[in-house]
Amino acid sequence: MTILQAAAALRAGKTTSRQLTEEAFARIRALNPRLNAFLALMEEEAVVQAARADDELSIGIDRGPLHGIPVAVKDVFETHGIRTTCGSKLFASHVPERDAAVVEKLHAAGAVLTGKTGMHELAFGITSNNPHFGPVRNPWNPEHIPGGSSGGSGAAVASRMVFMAMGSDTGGSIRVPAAYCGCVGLKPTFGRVSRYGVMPLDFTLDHMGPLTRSVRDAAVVLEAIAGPDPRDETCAAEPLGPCVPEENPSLERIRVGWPENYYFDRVAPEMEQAARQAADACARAGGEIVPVRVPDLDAYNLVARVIVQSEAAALMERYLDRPELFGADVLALFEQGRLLSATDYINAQRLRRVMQREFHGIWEHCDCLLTPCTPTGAPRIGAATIAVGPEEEDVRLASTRLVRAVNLLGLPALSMPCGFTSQRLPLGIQIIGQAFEEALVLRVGQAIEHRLQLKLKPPVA
Amino acid sequence: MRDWKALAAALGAAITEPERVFPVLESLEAGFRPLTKDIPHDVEPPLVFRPYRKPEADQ
Repeated sequence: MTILQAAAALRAGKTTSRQLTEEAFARIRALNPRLNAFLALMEEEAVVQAARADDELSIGIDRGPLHGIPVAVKDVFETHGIRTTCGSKLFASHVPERDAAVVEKLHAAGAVLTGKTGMHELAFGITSNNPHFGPVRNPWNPEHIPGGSSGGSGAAVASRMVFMAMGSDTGGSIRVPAAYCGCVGLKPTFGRVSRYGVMPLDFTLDHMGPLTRSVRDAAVVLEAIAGPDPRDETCAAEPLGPCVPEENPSLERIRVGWPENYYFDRVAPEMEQAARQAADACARAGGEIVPVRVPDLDAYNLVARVIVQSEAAALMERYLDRPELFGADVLALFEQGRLLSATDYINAQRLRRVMQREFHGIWEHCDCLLTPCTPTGAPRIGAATIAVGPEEEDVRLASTRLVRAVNLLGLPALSMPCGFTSQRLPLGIQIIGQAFEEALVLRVGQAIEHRLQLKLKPPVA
Repeated sequence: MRDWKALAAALGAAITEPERVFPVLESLEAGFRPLTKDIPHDVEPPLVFRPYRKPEADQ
């Protein structure tokens, strides 16, 4: 069941928020010991919220499609009175006195908050193999990673514990777990969603967005969480129009860019085949598939790495004299970033400006780009490398090289299922749009979802 | 190329596992440094970053 289906059932009197919430906690209790998707549960609070949601609906107070729906947030979103660890020992006893802006908006929309999902330590990695809280596991095969850093959110949504879980994305951390877990992940335009009250990894690359079971659900959540916020000076005033696509939208007069270079240069053949099926779906919906050439995105990725490592190291430098509090992979990234110079950082930001303008030229030829999200399906837990065709690649670099540049550019991007590997692990595509054009990205995604009709129930669900 | 080990020592920055830090920085620098040589002189960093949009007058 999706958010929109549950919302309809609630209003038709076929279920209640109490019932949906009880079912969610029953599933969490049954599945979380195998998947480790949740770091903290908020059952007492959720039961109260569900009862309030039912009471309100019974007297005609309707807060919209999230009203009464069980959801979760990554443990990077601050929650008033509820421990928020960021997946780190550093914040093991951090109990915020405020809600993140996104949490405020979810409450205002009537959503029922069930708990906090697990993640890669400090949101600085792609495996969610957390040394302090244990590895989060992939519901399609618990020996494989769910992706990261929002791995708990991906596992919780894919295994149907909750209808939606919020994630954060600095270099692919919403889109990669969505791809590896077989769900939908939306990274909105930078500035579309407030970062207030989110424990930062980075100041200029962090984006907040939902992981959901369907494209239309992602749109529903975006409508609830988007909007200006004076507490986050990077939050844009740009209005978000209605963005929930029709069930079967037409793509007439939409030019879908199909990259001739870079994106398919080093991906598994089954990934390319699955992406081609998605492109065929776009064409069947009336879209025009347009070959396009993209800039050297390896250079974009390098620039993004210099920025994220510099900003993250600046944030964490005060703690680096206590290395025992960090996992080895994350500590190495902070120690690298600490040695980069201010000149490196400023020049990386200047290059960002140049690359924004360069990449913008693509939109003369197409309205959105359709690309693979990751080169392969989910790697095994503990693997340092993964085979991409005949080559072995570092898991972190391979998992992020098709998504990281979009954070540098601040553009909206949707990750969604498009097929499976021979081992029955999900594969994801990415749809990239122009700044603040989430509605178009979601429309293209819905056209693909409607035509592919993938069966997305994992073995652990 | 920078001598990253000497730089870390000069900064008094303890490096827990040098083999996880210095080779990565050498590789990063080899890719990044050439890019900086082509930045047009008048390009400024985005102080408050906004996603690039085509100016309204050109649309």
